[in-house]
Amino acid sequence: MAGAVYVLRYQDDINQFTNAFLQSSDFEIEVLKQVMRRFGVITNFKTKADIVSQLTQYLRLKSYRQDLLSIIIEQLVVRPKESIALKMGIVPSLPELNDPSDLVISPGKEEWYGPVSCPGDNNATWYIRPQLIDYWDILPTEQSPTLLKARWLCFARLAEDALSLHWKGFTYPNGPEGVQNNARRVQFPYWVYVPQFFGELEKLTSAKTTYVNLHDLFLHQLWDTFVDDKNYHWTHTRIRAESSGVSLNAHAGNADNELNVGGILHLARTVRTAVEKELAAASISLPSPEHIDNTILRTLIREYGALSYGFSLEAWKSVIFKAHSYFGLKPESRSADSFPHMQVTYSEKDALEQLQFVIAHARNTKSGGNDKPATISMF
Amino acid sequence: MISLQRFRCFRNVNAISVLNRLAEMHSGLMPHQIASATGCSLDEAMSLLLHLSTLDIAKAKTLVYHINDNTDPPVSILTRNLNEGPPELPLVCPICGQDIENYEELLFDFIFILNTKPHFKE
Repeated sequence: MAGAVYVLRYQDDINQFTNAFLQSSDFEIEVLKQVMRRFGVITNFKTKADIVSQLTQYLRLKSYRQDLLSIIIEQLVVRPKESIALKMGIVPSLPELNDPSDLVISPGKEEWYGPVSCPGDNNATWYIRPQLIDYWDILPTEQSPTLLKARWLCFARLAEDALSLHWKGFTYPNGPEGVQNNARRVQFPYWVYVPQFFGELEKLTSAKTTYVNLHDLFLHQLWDTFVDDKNYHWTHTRIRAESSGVSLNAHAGNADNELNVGGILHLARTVRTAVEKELAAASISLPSPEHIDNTILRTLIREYGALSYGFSLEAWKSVIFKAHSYFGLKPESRSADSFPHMQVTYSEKDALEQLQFVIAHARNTKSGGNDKPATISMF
Repeated sequence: MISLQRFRCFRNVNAISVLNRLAEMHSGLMPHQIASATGCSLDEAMSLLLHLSTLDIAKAKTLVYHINDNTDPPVSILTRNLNEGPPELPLVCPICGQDIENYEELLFDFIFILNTKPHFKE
């Protein structure tokens, strides 16, 4: 799984710390090249290590100038992140918090940093929240795993009536046995932190916001608007659901794969074809096979207890929105199902443009109505 | 006929039609199932199901889940009547075979088994 986490080392040496940070999975080569371009430095290097080395030499030469560190932070903010949680309401103030440049040269504190402006996203203000987590790894000089700290960055975007958190997930060894065994790596439990970060931000900005009701927005408002509109192409790509003790997880692979044209529609067609053949043997024909396919899809996706759902919406062969969204309908679950969020695919459409699409449509629909994901009291 | 007069979120033709369809198709309903099928919040779904329970149309049951379950989404390991409370410990997880000695290892949800097929009206 692609991810973003920086295993903290060399905290006592600014040069080594910065070098290791720029080498970490928080930066891809293209992000580093963009930084170099904005510095006005030409790089002919191809490998990440060489580019980072050139970059840190330049920073050292310029005495870690504030404006250069700010450029690195801005490019970190611009870098697309697949996970987005969205709340809407009133965001009245944009406070001056910790200096974000500090995060390039030091681990920072578990507090908010910002504001940061994001090039190309002029109507929004961004903040950054580092979270330090336990991370097992083997140091180059040692044989056995050591417990280290790693830094995960969560980004907040504040704009008009929308407050969103953006992050990249990752898998990690949560114990010494996971260091050399990939099968023992686990997904970082972002669901523990993201709802808490919303709470912190709301306090700092005096914001009053509620989670957007994603199950209503996607399964009803957008579905009813676009599924039958011939100008748009809607593909069901994933459904995770639970009903009466039976859980369902159907996940379509690449939609371009000729084995699976149409995503989960393939599953519905297979079921319908089997029934159709049985009925044909009894000389009964289905009146409208396409209608039956849609009925099966509606039953599986809308009426079987959906917990999360993935779809892509395209028009004129261009992607408008493509994401797998968790609805937050198991608030006590200590899992991704505990709060509403989206995992957008940004290879074909910019992540922020997809967020804007969701925000625009969420303004036209009702909110979840709660200050936090709806909870059910247990016993 | 079940009147939805006191449930503002369900007092429209679409929601009533969906609720009647759900009741026809399923022998038991879970709160998230009502929410994703109608677009209502979990609290609104729970209120409706508890209402059915007080009318003796549905019987409330607790679903018990083991947090170590790697099934995605997890499936329940036990079903109990709501008034029986949580299960006694220790118990053995019928899916993974592990001993469960602590309530921290369990999660809970609800299902409402329909005694009769309700028909909803505004």
